[in-house]
Amino acid sequence: MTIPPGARSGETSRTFDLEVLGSAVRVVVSDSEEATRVRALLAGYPSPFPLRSPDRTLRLDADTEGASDKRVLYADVVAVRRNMAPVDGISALLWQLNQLAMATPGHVLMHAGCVASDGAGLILSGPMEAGKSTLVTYLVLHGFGYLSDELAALSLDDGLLYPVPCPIGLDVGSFDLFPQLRPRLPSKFADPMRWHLPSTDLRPDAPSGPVVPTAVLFPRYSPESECVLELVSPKDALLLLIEQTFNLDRVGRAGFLALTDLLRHVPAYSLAFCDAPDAYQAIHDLISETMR
Amino acid sequence: MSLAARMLPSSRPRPATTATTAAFEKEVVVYCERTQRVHCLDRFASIVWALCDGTRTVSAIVAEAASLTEHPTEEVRHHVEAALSQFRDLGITRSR
Repeated sequence: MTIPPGARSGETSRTFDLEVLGSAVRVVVSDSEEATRVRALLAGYPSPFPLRSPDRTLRLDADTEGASDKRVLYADVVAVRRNMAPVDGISALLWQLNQLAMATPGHVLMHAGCVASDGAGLILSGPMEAGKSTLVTYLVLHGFGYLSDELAALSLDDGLLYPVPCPIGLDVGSFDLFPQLRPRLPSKFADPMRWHLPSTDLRPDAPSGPVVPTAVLFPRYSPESECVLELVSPKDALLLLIEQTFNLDRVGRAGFLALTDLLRHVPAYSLAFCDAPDAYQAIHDLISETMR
Repeated sequence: MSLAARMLPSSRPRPATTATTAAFEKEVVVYCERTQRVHCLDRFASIVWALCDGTRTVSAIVAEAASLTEHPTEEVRHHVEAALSQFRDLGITRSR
């Protein structure tokens, strides 16, 4: 069951308790308007259940050492970023949440989007500018469940993919594809280069729980390309996934074996595309074929 | 120093305890936990790797690699010794 993050009783509505890959994270935002924005952005995260003391705390506060209207971000008691405009403070908070996810034990964490259809998990891995976020946005808008835009978390315990439901980060080049998603925000929160889109803004029921991995995709956006889906050998897929793995140094041999096992059981494909609807159709057909 | 001088024919190479192997059809990927590096071996090196089980001497590995690849022993010897030397330099084998 997914319980949306909420205000803790007895405190202000500026405190949110989230579960991030098994860790309880408390987010505290001192400005009420920013807290409202942060609450919307974190809507996909479940609350720790049962509620417990936080393992980590992130606090976005007024930076009294900086110019007026600047923000400081604390991770526990350490200031990790200072002197930020409010919009940058929120971006830093989201980034730091992903850093906390990367520090949790028990998962191989890959730079990848992750979506699901009828319990079948799809990893979309690749470097920046590969088109992952554009595809994830399109897929979720058209019925796929949302696990993550940035971090695919493969459990070392049960081999399932677990959600890290950070807001989707859509860059300016994709804005025209999704005009209906343009955030309506006060100017102090508007980022001209990037939209942060909570998956619940795409579809209220978008957040997905853990799923079984069913396929690995390596998307590659190219304005000149037709939509081409090609099988990638398990060995090549392993090397590509390892390139995009953040924490192999921490998960070590167990992580290497988990990735090897994944690619022995799950097909991997490269997907060249220039058009999101065509790519969606190819992925939809692929999932249908794999599930048959 | 020649490769032959660095690798005794009687030594018996085996994977280091920090090395983990993933075998895919005819190729092998080796993860070294000590260096946290991943090494993708070509087909010939993968054959040599599979023969490094701590029981075979270098001479035996040369002979078996020659048999498996259907190439003359003397032709294969240099390539086997080069592969073994590289495995050792990468820290993914030990010899006894």
